[in-house]
Amino acid sequence: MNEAIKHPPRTHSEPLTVGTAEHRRALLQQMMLVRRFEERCVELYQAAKIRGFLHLYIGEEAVAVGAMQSLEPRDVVLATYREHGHALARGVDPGAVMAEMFGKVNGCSRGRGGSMHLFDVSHGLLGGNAIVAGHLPMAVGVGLASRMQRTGSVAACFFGEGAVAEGEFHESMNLASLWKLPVVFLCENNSYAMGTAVERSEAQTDLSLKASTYGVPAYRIDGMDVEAVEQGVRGAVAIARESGPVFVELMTYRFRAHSMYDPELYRDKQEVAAWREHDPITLLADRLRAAGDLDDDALAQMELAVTETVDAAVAMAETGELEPVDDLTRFVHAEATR
Amino acid sequence: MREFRMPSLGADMEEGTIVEWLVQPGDRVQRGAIVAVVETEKSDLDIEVFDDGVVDELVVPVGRKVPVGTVLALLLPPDAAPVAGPVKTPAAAPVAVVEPRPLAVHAEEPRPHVISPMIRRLAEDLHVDLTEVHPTDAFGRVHRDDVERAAEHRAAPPPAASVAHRAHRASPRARRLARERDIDLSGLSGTGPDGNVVGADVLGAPERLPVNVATAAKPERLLKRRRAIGALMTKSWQTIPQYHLRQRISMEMALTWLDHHNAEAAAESRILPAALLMRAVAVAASRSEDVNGFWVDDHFEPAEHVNLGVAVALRDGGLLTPSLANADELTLPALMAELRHLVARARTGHLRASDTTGATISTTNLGDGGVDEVTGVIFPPQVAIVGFGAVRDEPWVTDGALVVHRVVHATLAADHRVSDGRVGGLFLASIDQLLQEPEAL
Amino acid sequence: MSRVTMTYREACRQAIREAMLRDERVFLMGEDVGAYGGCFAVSKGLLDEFGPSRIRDTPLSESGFVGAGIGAAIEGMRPIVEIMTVNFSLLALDQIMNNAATLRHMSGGQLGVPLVIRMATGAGRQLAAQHSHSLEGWYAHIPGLTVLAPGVVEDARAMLWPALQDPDPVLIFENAALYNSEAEIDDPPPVVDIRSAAVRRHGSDVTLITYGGSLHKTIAAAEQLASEDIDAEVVDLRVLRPLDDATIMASVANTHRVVVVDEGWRTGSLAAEITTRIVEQAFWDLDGPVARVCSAEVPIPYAKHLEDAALPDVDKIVHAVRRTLGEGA
Repeated sequence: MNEAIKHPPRTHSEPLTVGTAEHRRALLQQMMLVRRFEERCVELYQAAKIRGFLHLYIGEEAVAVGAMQSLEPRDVVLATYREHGHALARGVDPGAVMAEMFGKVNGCSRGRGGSMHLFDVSHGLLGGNAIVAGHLPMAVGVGLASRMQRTGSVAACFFGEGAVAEGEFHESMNLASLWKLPVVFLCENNSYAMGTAVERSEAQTDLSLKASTYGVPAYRIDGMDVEAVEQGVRGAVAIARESGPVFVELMTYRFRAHSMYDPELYRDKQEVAAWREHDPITLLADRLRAAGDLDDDALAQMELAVTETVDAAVAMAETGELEPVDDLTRFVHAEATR
Repeated sequence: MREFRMPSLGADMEEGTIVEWLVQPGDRVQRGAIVAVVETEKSDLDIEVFDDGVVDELVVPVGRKVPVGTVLALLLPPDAAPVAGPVKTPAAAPVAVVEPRPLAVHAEEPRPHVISPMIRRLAEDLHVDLTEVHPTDAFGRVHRDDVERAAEHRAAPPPAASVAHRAHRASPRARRLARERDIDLSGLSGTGPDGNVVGADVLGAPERLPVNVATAAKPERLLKRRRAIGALMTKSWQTIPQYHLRQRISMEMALTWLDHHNAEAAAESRILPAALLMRAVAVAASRSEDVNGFWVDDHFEPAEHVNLGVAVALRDGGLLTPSLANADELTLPALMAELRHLVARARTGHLRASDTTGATISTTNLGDGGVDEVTGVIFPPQVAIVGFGAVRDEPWVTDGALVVHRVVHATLAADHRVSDGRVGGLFLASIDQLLQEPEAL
Repeated sequence: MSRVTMTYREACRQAIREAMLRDERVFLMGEDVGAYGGCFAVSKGLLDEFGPSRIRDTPLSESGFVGAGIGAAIEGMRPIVEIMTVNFSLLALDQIMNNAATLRHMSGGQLGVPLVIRMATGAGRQLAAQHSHSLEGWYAHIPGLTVLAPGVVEDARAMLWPALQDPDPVLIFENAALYNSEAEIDDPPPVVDIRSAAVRRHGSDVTLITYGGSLHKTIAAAEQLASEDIDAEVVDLRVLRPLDDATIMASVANTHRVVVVDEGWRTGSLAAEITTRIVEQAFWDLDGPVARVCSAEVPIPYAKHLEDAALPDVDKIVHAVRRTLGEGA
């Protein structure tokens, strides 16, 4: 088993971008929000307040937070079932996200979707999609609409490395490239499709080759470094908006189990421990301290602000109403037409 | 003091076994720390704690399997002094968890066609006049058995005339038209396939006198239900020499305990006072002689278990008495859960065969309706029924002082052929005594 | 208003043309819809008229381009996606079921997918077991979809526009045996809704319920029965989801006897659903059991005599009606 340990990518000793201290602190706080929000989710799940499947993003926060920085309001985000971080980083109300998981009507999908199906059209978030690779063709269509209507918007499509084994990945790469559509394919490579390691499912483990073969430019980024992600995805989004699809592979790792009820038989605890040494939050916090842009007081303030946000989200979920059962069959069709 | 409970790691996880404690009393723990390893159907899982604090007591020992939600350990606040001394002994009984299932009270009652097409055909084939068949089903539905029994018991051979009609069936439409016009289908000859009577045959037939409107207004099924209840109660009144006892029972201990239990329980795990009363009846019945069983062929046959009949009033009139099988062996939460399901099934017309047979003793509780007390009528062949009225504040003398207690009036109707008043009195006293020690229930 | 004669194929083409001209958000996408002119020549000439951006040839990627249609529809376009045959649509079942039919509900009403998917269905051309099936009944099972089956030239011409106006996904099944059929229709075409069935022939003795490729066989059977003094009413469902219960039950209340004709397999079929609804809603109007004429439970074979034997035809319909009326088979 020890031979199979995957080593985390070397993180850059020097930051790639030198954003303002304020911006870098904002990145840190967003990642902390995602982390604390999900830690609270675990607690609420084990208390049976949240049910269904709950997939945690803990460890991968730098990917969603970094990638969202370069997206504009007109852009569209499609994500997987592990999308709490994407919703929060895209600016969806944390209370609406929590209420959704509680199955309440004030949830962002009125309690009809749950953890795996967070939707917020006002923030350009088209799910929360839980058929692996099933949303990639839709992202192609979003790009097609953008081209045909000349809106200049980009589709940012997040998916795990497990999706590249699906036919829909290949169909989508081909179509997006053939029609030169503004789609950024963001492959969150956390090494495991549920419990199947990438080398146990892919004959070719260099995933960027699969994109290149369709004529799609491919990049690999350290997904534990939020600043590297921000800079890399910013470049990819610019290319997509201008000329056509881009594939970005973000090397990351989930610290927690696949879902709540997962004994993690498929990986070694030492491997998890090794990756935890590269915690994206610690990485950025240390950098900020070294630059003199963060002290204990400031960090404590951030923790406090994040805790307040999470508390408020839970309160909103707790006090939310359940949708009346009489409304069960609503939202199957548009209401005005029936 | 914070409670650390067996976590729910998925809807498919019902229980877990502590494989290893990674902390001991006195240890300080922080939110997120892994404190134990739990074995589930899937595998061993690390479980974490969500509070900072000091471990005060490990309640569940290694090796014990407990339901989700069971308190595993107790934590003191972080600023508490560490506990000294040996590990506190883990307590015994795990808390059972009631599967949350709401009462299906909004479900529509099905509208049974009292006699199905299959039964009609069977009756025709066996020359049984369906108006003479008495359904044994509590719903008033006629079953195959009823028809076959009627055929066996029929004294005279079938009249020759009906033989000619044997193959002639009527279509649904023809039946409807005949019913609306009160036309006797057996008098018609059919022009449909195989000589079956179809709508047109009925439309050509003469009408009889108009039906009595008042009788027609009440659905047939309700009338049948009423008749079935009437027959049973008449039999009880006419054949059983019943004696009646009444006892006031203080519910102060029971309700105080219940309030405390319910305050801590999730909404769906809360227990109603009625369940407590039934539990007491079940336990008392299992210990008492001569109230639990059947009167069969001039002698009493005591029952081994207590199948507790529950009188359930139906929304559109009438009542059913489904039973809780082996109620004496059900824990209180389990009895509560069973009761919810049973009442829901009774009211939605989805009782199972096992629900409707074999009650060994019954209860009736009209407390919801606000009556002070109810003396039931024994359901033959049972030999006793316990009635409860509303729980009310009443004057109560205890230790020579006049105080106000919450009180329920319990009554017993019992079969004098089987028992005497003294036995009945002991039985009621036993119920009373059980309710004074609710935690033991 | 004038009258014009055209084929079912031409009616489909004119309907697409009209939609493209009326609404610039409309475009056609599918395998060989452009340069080839459409597998069944429905879109012949449209590439020249509208150009490759709006008459869009796709790779053989049913899941990919149906999903792209969904994404484009969400983002404001009005795509018409053509899938060659219903058998191929199974490659896109994930997109149709898990996305198109589901997104509005899953998003709590935020998203709509105003997408039209056209596809050919049905047997009768010796195309064997991977190009001949009638699976529209499967799609009629799915909440969130509207399923149409135009059985006459007029409906082929008139149903596309209201389908494109629907804010939710609409599937249109064109029975391939109908493309060459010809009829005189109003010009401009009538306005039809996509909610109601149509009574194609009035009668008082028995109701024949059918749709799509079986409609003409059923009407022919009704004509033959008329010569035997049996007066059959023919209901063309046109809309397979939601089913127009009112029209069906009104007819049953009038005739009291029913035969359902469906090219799908009998087990778990649309015919089974219709029969059940009649038993549920019109039981006391029946003068006899409901009968069904469906395809034999076999993958459609290639050999002509076997294919014919597998499908509903006029004889089978006539026999079923006679049995229902007790006239002997």
